[in-house]
Amino acid sequence: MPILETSGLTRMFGGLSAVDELDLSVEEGEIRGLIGPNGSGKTTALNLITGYIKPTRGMVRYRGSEVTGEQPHDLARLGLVRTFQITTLFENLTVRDNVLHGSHLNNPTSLVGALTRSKRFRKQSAEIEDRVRELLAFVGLEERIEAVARDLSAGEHRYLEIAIALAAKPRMLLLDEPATGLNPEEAAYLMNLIRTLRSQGVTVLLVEHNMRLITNICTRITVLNFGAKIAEGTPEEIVGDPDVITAYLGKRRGA
Amino acid sequence: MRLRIPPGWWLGGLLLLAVAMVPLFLFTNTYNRGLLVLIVIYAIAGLSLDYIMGEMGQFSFGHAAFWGFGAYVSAKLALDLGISPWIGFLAAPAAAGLVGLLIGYIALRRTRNLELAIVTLGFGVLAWTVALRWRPVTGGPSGLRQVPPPSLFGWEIRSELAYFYFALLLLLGIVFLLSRLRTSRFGRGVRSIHENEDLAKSIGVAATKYYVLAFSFACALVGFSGALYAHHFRFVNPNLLGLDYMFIFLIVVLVGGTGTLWGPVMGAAIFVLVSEWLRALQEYRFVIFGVVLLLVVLFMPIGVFPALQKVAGRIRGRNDEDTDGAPAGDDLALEAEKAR
Repeated sequence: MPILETSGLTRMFGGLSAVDELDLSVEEGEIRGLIGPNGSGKTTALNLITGYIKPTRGMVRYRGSEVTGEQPHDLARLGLVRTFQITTLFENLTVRDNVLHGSHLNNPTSLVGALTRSKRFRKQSAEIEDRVRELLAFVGLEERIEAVARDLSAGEHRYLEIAIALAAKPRMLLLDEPATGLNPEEAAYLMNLIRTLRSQGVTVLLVEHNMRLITNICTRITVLNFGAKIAEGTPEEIVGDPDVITAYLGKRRGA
Repeated sequence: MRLRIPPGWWLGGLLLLAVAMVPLFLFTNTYNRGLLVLIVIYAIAGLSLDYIMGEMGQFSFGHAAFWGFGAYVSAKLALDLGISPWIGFLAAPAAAGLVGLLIGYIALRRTRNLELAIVTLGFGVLAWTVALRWRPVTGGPSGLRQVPPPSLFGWEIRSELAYFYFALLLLLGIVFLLSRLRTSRFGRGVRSIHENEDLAKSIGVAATKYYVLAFSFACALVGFSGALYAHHFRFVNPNLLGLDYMFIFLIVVLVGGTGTLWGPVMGAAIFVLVSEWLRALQEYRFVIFGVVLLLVVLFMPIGVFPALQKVAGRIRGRNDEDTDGAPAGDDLALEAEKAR
């Protein structure tokens, strides 16, 4: 059974369909690429799936139950977590506090415990702190733990974003162009992180418009153009698909 | 656990100790000691408005309405039903919190920022009008008089000094709880929405629910402050719900400094004392306060308390602009950092 499924997912913006009858089916354990030229509806599709905007029609199904139009925080609770195209952090907080605040769903402390600083609260807080440090070590930011988020480099921003998302313990992670603004080394490092995540059992939906990056890492790729799916298959199939080449490069003049 | 008292607590604690000692030497007559009570009551109101401004990053123009509402609730219970002010001190925040929950639910589901300010302004004006017109219940323009003071083992807390220390104790407790609330799951949730609402939702924070609860909490706190006012000054009238007090609380928060717990306490002291000093000028007082507010926002947008913290930090030989006491998040503080 697929972990995520959409059928006939459509979103109109003033008569134009940003996403048009999208049928998508992602299996558990996949790294699925969602690619397409700029403006092809990738981000809108991701916003529809994660509840940030409501679909005009169509359905989203996650782990067998329908979740169409549910609130983002409810979906996060179910393990469906996203990142944003424009790097989105708690800019004014330290790296540690970013991940600490990201641990909302895995914070078992009670209000009374926090107000009285009970033994239990201190123990639970220490456990959260440990997990925060683990996550920062995983993305390679343990040295920057005290830095304020807005002072990080572009690459570090992206790694921190992933650490925040991981603090919510996702079962499925939707990444919106995570490599944007990164140099090739940083991008490679990021792709490695994503691979490791997959080996830990996280299913990934990777939105990207850089085809070279995505063909290396994805198990399958779905291609959008003008909001509609124009191709789907393994990276090899996609790279050779004439429709995809046309969408990306345009028609050869005179051909 | 390492025992480390945050620098804010040192500075705030010293300030409070000083304030606590002052009445014994400086404030020798009843009138002046009444000002001290006012400082504490405004400080609590300021803290609650700052919960909305500093922690939530929002603004409510109806905050004085909740203050006055709390005052009326407790006064009314005592006058009409003979209910003890102690119960009133619980009932007022409960009632204000409940109305805050309703208003918050209506307003925060759809609005933030400027729109929220306007919705709450509308509510505030509405509440003020009701207090003014609904004579049988509110006593109309002259309000309610002869509100009884609380008594402890048969002894009425009537004297200015006794009430001041009583209220001061409560203020200390509130500052303490607020500081701990910040590191609770709820406090962090609210903070994360303030920082970035989309991101907060993506990691599972039920943003609207948290904001409605936080707003309701701030309303409860200011309702409590209102009840403290009613049982000391022993009257309530519609002005308590009006924009004059709204303006006062705003001055208290902005002069003291948003996003810092001690800021509103200091702001309240500054406001009451300076306002007393300017008493001879009567109606020009608010003109002067308007100018002061302008100057503070333009030239010391972080407020007096954070500015002092900075100076103290420099004296200690380290620059602790961002990490100490004040979470760096609030917009005013940031603006100030950028301006430097």
